[in-house]
Amino acid sequence: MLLQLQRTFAARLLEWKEKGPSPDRLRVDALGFGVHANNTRVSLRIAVENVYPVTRRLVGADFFTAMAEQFVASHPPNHGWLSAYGADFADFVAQYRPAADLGYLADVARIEWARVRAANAPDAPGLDLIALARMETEALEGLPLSLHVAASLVSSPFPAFDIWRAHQRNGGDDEQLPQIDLAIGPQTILVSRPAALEVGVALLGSGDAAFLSMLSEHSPFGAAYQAAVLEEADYDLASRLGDLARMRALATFIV
Amino acid sequence: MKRPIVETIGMESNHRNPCAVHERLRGPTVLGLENSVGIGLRTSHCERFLDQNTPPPVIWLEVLAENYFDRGGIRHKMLSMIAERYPISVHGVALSLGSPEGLDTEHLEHLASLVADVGPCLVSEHLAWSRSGEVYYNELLPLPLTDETLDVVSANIDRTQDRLGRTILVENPSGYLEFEQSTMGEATFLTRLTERTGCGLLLDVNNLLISGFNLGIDTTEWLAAVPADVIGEIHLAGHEHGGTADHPLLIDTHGAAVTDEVWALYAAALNRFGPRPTMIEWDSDVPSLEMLLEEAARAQRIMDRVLVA
Repeated sequence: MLLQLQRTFAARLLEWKEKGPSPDRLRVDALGFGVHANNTRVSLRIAVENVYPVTRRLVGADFFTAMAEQFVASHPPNHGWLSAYGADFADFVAQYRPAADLGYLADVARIEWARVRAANAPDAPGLDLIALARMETEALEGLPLSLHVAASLVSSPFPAFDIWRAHQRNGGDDEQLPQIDLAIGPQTILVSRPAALEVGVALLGSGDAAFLSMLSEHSPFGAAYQAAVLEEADYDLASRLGDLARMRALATFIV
Repeated sequence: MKRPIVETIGMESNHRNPCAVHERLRGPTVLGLENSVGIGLRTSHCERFLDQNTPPPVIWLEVLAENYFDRGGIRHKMLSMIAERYPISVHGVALSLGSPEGLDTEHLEHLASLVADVGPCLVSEHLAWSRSGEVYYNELLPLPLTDETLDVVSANIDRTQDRLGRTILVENPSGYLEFEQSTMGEATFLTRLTERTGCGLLLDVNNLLISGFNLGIDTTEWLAAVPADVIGEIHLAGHEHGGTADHPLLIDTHGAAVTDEVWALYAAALNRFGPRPTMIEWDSDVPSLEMLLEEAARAQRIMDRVLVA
């Protein structure tokens, strides 16, 4: 009895409309059912909102609410802990027709999700430069380096980093939103956890972007370096590796 | 500062009688928190609690369990640091004790890891369900109060207490609707639950007031019916008015100051049950820490008056 009652109750929770009836066969007060349906929809929408404040600022509260509530109805969570909820929101935004002319929106959302990932990822050691320096050149060539578990790359055909950075502050509805020239072109962004209590978002130069993109696709160290040099002829590997290690972009390696 | 209570299950446990599996709920005096008021730990206040020089003057803190299920990362790190300085109560909102499908094993394992990591003074959950099939609804959904439901919730509490190796507290819900199928009142249901499983109760005074208003539960009878020794903690919160002119409802928002009616019912509960660890629960539209501390101080004054009387 209880199992069937809960299935009937649950089936209508996410599709209930304001002032709608409670589910047939349930024989419970419609107003009371509406409180639960409303709490469900709003609390899940707020869970999405909390992760994507900049995306929300870019489209305004009403637009975002409609978009997020459609996401909630079509992608309800599968776990009682919500730290991983909203991971596929950026893909949803990319397909969301009313936002079709805001090509950069999904990439800004990807930066925001990468920040959550970085904050919640397990603790793990970063690249050990001294161990790296001790390696034979030949072994170094084929070394499979990988991104740190807290690090993500966001590659956008738009200046997504500039847009994200320019909309950090919530100045209220009257605030003149900054204008970003979309012609600035593509940007690749590294999001990582450089220190225990800190999430970093960095715009990468073209050499670093090529280097990390190759590594994230499991290319060996040598091939990634060659890709970086193709992008930036004077790519200074030693100094770049130092910076990337400080940002905790790369995982430690096992020989 | 920190006083973790670890209860162990005897190897010779008789699993056919759930009451025998766990030690009876430890009296609140064991916790040393019976006369004290805590507040909920909110992300925006975390750094204040890590301040070495002027740590906020509160005896203990309660965290929403599911916010700390990732075992690495910034939140977990901050909680570990704060738990070194303040006793922590772990309050779960999503275990879905009312699910006839049984508990989500992964969820229970996360809860067990968190409890192992912070050594909480109290662990609590809700009389509710929030999951059906593969979907989690992020809402404390209501249960018909029947013998079947009592069996389901008891089995889920047994499993939780077995896994955690300690008793938990179960919170009374805020009610917005009633099921025709119900065969007993809330106070009876909760009391039988404590008898069956050895669990204690977390009395949410705001929820009781809301259920009194919305469902006609007699709050005085409720307080009289539930045995004093099972009440392990009290929650205080605010609510809002909703529903329609014909059918007004009080709605639990956790986003407002404690109302005068809740303060009055709190005093009545303390007079009936004696002093109990009390927590100000305000987790949406989170106010300044100072405002939370003021609410806590007001609760403390009420508790102190009961202690003197």
